[in-house]
Amino acid sequence: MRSRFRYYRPTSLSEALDFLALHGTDTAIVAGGTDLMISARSGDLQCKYVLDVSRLNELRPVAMSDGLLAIGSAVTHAEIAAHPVTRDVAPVLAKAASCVGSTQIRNMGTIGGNIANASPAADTIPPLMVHNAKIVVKSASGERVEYLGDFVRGPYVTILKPGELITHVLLEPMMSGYRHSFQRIARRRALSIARMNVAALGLVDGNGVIQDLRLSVGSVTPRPCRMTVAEDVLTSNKPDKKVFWEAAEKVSHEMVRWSGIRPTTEYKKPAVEGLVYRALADLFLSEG
Amino acid sequence: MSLGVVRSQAIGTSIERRGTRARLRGDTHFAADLNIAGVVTAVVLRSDRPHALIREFDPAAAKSTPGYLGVFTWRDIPGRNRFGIINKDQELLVERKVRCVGDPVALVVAETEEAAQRALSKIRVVYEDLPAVFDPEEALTDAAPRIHEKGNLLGRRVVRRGSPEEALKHSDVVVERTYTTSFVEHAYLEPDAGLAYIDHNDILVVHASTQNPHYDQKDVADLLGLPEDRVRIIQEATGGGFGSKLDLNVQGFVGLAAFLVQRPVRMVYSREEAFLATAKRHPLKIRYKSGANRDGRLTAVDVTIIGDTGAYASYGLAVTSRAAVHATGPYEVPNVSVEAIFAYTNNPMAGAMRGFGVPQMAFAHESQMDLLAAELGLSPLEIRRRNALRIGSQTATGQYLTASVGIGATLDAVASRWEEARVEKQSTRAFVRRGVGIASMIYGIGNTGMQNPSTAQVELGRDGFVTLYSGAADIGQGSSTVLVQIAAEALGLKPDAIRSVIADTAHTTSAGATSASRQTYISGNAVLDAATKLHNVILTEAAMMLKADRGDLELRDGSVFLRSDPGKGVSFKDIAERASRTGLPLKWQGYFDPDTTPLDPETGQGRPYATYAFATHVAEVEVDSLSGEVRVLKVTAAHDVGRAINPLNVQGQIYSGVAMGLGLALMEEFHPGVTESLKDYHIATAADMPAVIPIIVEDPEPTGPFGAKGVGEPALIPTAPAIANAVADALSARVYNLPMNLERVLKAGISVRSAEKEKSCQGY
Ligand SMILES: Cc1cc2nc3c(=O)[nH]c(=O)nc-3n(C[C@H](O)[C@H](O)[C@H](O)COP(=O)(O)OP(=O)(O)OC[C@H]3O[C@@H](n4cnc5c(N)ncnc54)[C@H](O)[C@@H]3O)c2cc1C
Repeated sequence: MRSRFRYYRPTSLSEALDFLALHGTDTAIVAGGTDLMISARSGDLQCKYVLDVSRLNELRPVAMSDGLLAIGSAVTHAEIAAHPVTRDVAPVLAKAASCVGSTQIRNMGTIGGNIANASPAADTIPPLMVHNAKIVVKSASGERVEYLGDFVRGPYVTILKPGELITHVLLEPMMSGYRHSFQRIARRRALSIARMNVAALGLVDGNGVIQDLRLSVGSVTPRPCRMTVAEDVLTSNKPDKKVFWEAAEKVSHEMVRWSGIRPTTEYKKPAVEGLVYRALADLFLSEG
Repeated sequence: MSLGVVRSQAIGTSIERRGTRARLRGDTHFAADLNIAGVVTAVVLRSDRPHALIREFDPAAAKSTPGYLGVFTWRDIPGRNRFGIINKDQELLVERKVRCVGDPVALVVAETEEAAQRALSKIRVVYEDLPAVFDPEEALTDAAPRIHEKGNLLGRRVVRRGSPEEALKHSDVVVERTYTTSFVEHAYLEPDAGLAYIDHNDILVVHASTQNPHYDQKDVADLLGLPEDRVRIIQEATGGGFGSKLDLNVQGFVGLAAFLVQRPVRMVYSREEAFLATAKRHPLKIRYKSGANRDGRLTAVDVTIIGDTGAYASYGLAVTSRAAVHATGPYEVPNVSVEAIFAYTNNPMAGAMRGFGVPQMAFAHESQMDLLAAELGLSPLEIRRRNALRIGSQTATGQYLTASVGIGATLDAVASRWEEARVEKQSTRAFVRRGVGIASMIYGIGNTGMQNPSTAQVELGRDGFVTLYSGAADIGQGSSTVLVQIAAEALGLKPDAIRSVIADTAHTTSAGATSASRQTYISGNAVLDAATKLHNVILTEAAMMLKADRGDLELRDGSVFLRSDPGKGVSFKDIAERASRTGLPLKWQGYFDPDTTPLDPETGQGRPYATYAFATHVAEVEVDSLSGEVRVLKVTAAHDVGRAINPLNVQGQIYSGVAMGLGLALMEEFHPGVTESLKDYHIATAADMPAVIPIIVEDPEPTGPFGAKGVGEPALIPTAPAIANAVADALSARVYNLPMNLERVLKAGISVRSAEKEKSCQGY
């Protein structure tokens, strides 16, 4: 049986925050609804109110401010994929957004929803991790800013409290000279949740040595993280295939360290190594 | 056939499929769109246990739900609480025990869907769980829990000829492998729906999404204890069926509810319910041993097939027989031993699904052909050519093929693409391998070794218009269009000029099921028979009216003209008026039953089908050994359809067959108790579709209407094995289990990947 609730659509952020201050514990926030509607349809969603933030202008900017890229939580995947600013300073995120679901899902689904839903397979999370993204959370009583890696505590769990909502995310822009890659594995070519996904940024100096390497892998750890063990293998080295495989093995090792050996490990271990290799090869060995 | 008709050119032309425009405009009414005053809703309370006795059933709390109209159990069923197309082993509402998750326990009727769901949630059922069995081989052991009183064996089919054991012993090469396939959901666009009411003549009318209205009529009448003529089934526009709508899904429930509450009742399955409660494709385990000699000719096959039909038979016996009969593929095999054994389990029911077991068998026999080719140093194309059936060949059941054996022609049709693709297949990226695969199939048109006639009527009305009456359910494949084209050709009319009345038991007679790719061949022949009779009557009448010699007459666009004096003629309308005055009937019945014989129970020898369709597909794939991803780039699909009555319809079937075959090959797997809906069940999307090059081969079937056979199921059958062979070509390693999902492909490709890794890391 479908969930029953009352639907509110505030016209300003402050109205939304006031509503949440009063009814936060009884309210589910909805943006694109592409995750929420599934639980509303199955009846799993238990709340008195649903608060629609998708049309709040305050949650919809895409702009540089103080040297950081601010993306409003209600910005859709389609907008992120197409926006000239994201394509310029966060192309790995734009690429990831373009891989989400299907045209219809990208037109509705938002980055804020993707983060708050905190699925281990969320496609925007690895790119946000390599951009050292911070999540800006507001409530009627104030604002707090958290690193994404701290914001998500586990599969589908965040530190968002009743009364709070995500207003935007802040990303360090990708500096010039960096290369980027986003790779994912799925069971089909559209409308398919990622089996695993990888975002990577890399910079090679004039001597052909890797100066900076940032790597994050989705669906292999319970919380988003950067694969520093692999990053360390790569930095200060010249990009070559042997090193890529070494880094890839570090990642799979890390996965097993976090999650132990499971029935899925037989596939996930070689697959995550393969995917990391594919990302690194794409980063350093492909044209352009 | 010399009918004295000027070719209306209705045959072989891609006229627009009937109903296309309405569908594109959104005007089409599907069963779920029907709404009539006072309609109420029925929902089904389903078991959440695979095998359990019902100890207590307490609906008391449901009764206070606003809008509640009734909760009904098997005790309320006035007729015989048994149904099923072949074995009457299903209960509309279970009596004593549930045999699978999803079994119907009670029917709840309320003013609205919501009220019905609410009432349903208040019903208390106490089950006593029984030991359950989910593996068909286990189900056949003595220790297994008994699912049906008669035991867990559904059926067995043996096909035997020659001395296979001896022949295998003396073969130059022998290959033996075991193949498995998964449960597959039909995933038709339109989940099941129906609406029932009792009309002013006291007839129970059921509008439904169905593939077999005349069967529905019988079983609904039986369930309700009504004579058949008190039940009328009207097929609404149907958004796909693929075999699952051959079963009685909602028809019995809405019929019973309307009968009991005396109000119009509707029922629409959610996607989840369609997944939970309708039939699946049978998972098969196939042990396959084949032998061949150095000359590349097959010597013998020895095949064991284990099938899981789940809790109920549905079309399981048809799949048992068809799988066994088709085990040898489109090849001459002098020595054959096939045994198919199907068992009941506590899994969801498996039934008919596009191909009736042949897609699974083709995966096995086509993998075997490539394995043999490799052993013999022959190309996969060559080994198929050497063994392909031809005119004069005998099939595994000992049937001599006398005409329309187009397998060789389909091999020829794809040969150039096959050769090109093998040259072009150099990979462009490290770790990504290209592969090319070929696979062929044979498919017997119509039911296996049994009568399966069709009937039709063609009527010339007093207004001069011709109407076709056919019970054949058009479920999107286009039979209504093709049948009209056949009637048009026979009567010298344009197809547009013919009206049709389709799949309404009050106005049409049985055409049999829309299954087994039979409607073009069998119902097409019934229509042709009726139209030919009418044609003859028209000629006789016209000859009288024109005082002309019959041989000098021709039918064209609704009139009969004198060939020798084309200015002189008489219209169908004038003929109809005269005939009605003289009492001459102008509605004629046609009948056709394919020429078959039953299979011998011991040896499986006989003539199971009157004609066979053939096909060959070439698949080109790209396999990523880093991830296990497979991308199908192109499928070249050649089909011998005898004669394409409507080439565009044939192409449409081929495109859809490739889409479905790709899903079967790579991603479709239904896990009982786990898979819920399209959220966790993957079918191919547009983005997964390869380029499809359909090639229509026409080797006319002398007994077919204008030479036609069928293509509905054949379209799907070679795709999965062609992809499997292409993946094996790419990886130099084979996957023996469908689907070839990420996990299986990555595992199969691990040595290719290691080699590539080695290579890529050298040089440093
Ligand atoms: C068919 C389909 C395919 C999909 N494919 C993908 C895919 O490929 N990759 C992928 O990553 N995801 C995919 N998803 C999941 C989903 O589309 C994304 O997670 C999407 O970004 C969710 O955004 P939304 O705006 O629709 O969220 P909603 O459903 O509106 O909300 C999701 C959750 O976030 C909360 N929330 C939303 N906005 C805020 C806010 N501003 N502050 C605080 N909490 C908030 C809601 O309360 C809810 O708990 C798919 C979903 C579907 C249905």
